Amino acid sequence: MAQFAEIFLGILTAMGGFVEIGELTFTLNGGTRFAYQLLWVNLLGTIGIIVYCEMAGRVAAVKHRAVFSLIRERAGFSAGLLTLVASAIVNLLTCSAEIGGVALLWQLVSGAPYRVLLLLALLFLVLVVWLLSFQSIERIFGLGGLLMIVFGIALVHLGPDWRALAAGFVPRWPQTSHPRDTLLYFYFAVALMSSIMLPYETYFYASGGIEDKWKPSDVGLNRLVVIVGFTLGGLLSVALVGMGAEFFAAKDVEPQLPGTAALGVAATLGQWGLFAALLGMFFAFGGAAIETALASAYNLAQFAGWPWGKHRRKRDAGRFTLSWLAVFVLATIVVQTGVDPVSVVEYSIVFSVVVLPFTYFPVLMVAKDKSIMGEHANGWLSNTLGWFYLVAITLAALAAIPLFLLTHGGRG
Amino acid sequence: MKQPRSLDLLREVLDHEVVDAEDVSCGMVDDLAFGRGQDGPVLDALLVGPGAWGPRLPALLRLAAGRLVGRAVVRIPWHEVIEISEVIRLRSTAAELGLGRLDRKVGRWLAKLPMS
Amino acid sequence: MPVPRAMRAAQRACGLLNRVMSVRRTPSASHRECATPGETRKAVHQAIGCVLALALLGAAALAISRRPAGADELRLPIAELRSQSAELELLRAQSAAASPRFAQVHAQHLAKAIDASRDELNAMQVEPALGEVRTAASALASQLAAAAHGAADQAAPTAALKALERSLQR
Repeated sequence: MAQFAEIFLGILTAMGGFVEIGELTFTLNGGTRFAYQLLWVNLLGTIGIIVYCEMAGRVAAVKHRAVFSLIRERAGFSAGLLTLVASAIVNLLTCSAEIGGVALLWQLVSGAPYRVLLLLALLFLVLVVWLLSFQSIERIFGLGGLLMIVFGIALVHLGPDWRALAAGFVPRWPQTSHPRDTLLYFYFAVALMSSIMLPYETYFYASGGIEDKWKPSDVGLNRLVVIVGFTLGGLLSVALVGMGAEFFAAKDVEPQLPGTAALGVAATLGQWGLFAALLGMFFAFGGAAIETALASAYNLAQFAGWPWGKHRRKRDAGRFTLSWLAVFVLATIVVQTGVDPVSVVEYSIVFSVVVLPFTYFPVLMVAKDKSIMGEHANGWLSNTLGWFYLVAITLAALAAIPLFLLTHGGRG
Repeated sequence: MKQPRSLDLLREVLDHEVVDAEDVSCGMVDDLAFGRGQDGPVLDALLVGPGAWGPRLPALLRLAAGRLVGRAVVRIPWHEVIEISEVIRLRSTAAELGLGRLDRKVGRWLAKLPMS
Repeated sequence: MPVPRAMRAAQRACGLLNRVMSVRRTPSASHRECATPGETRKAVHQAIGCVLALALLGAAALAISRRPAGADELRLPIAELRSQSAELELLRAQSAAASPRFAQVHAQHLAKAIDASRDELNAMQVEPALGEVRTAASALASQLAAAAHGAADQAAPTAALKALERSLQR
């Protein structure tokens, strides 16, 4: 019974923690501009994050090794350091966007000044991570993020074109009116895939497996949580595409603010829908801010060989503790400069796709190595999918910057 | 220490995590120090610290890293190593070997805060 | 070959920094030597290389930004203004569904975004053939900004902005 509850909670937590501010923006806008034509990318990205989080989680359970120490071992010091610096920058920008998003949501409810709310958001997040255990943080923000399901309810309420929605899962050449829009379509495809497969999710998931003291007997649990939880989370992102396609496209609105997303739900479901959306986004953005800050600290500590983990007393993991505190503070400073959080996260998502191959290659190399993983090494399916996604994200990494420049930073 | 028949130093030792007698991480193997044995070079010690990984950077970054974090090196004699697996396990504690000093210093400061 | 004066100064500074930053010594700790003249020379060359690369990138970015904007570039802020105008209409239509505070604060966020798009449009250097289109767009942007900043009687010029956007898409 206890294990069933554990699995159930794990699945719900994985589902609720799937969406963050960047994915929200790209899925809504992708749906607005291209209707359901990008849904195959949602599917591709969701399977990709399942494949790699399952591998990273399995390595964590069997070998108690987290991603970044593997990166340094397998890729070497220089490549590892480059990946560390790149992922630190991406995590910092994502964290600052999430903190900015939280402050914007609080402002929509309270009307208080934005810069004051940024400082309150910083204090809130620091206190949460300082005082609560890893499991409590996961549960609270993961389960709270489930409120994002209100976007799915709003979509069903709108009566979507189910046939067009289903057809969107089949990859096809985009139907656009201009070659410029075709370029923009592929930019959105790369950005959407990157926003679903953001590296911090794998770092956090694998480190979390070690925090939760997973053992080889937890390999099955890991697989179930990742497959079911992330699939359900992927459905949330499909709902966001649907809201873009069915609601915002008809109104000629390209959502650029968190409030716009909530307004779409308010228009469909009324005030209760508005508050559910705002609360769901708060837990989603807040959870992502915590994950990115902790992921940065995990990465640095694992690369440098420092003691790390929320399961240790803070005094026993001094530099690790200082690291996540520093990320929160620096991230708040970034948004305090007045930069738009949504623009920040859009840049960080596009540049994070360049980091993805360096993150996933060592995970694949270790997960498939029978001399390390024994009976828990990759089977033919994990190997096939692992190599497929490594090639896919490498191609995406090569295309990301040129597409970004050719589409004027994704504006069109 | 259990001696494997052959050891690939680059794959199995360099850039691997070092864990002390209390199972606490205390650094990564940043470099290797060799001495002169009867039949050729002999692995003398593992080197941990910015003075060890600094020279592995390009010159400009090496200089900047030296200014920022110093060039301290801790030398772990080879006889301290009791196991080489996914991690390099040591016979002594980090404190006995001079490892993890900054962590303990930061830890003493953090211990003054509530619920640390 | 005599060591250049700059390098001798660098070596002295390095030695001083090492003494300031040195940790308490134990039998197993040791310090490596300060940077050698060869390392310092390489570092200087790499620094010069980085500065040159950044300067080239900066010059290229400046050259591109100074180019007069064509139809493709002019369309971007107009499209953003059209979207923001449509959103203002949506917010006005849905003010009953949203709470008064939400509607007020979201309108402020929208107004700020509109101001940013309008400023971008006004700051653009456009090709001479697009001058009239830019002037018309600026007038509509000012009208939209006034509507967003609380002029309830001012209509949001969504249709006009859409027509301008379409004219640039051809």
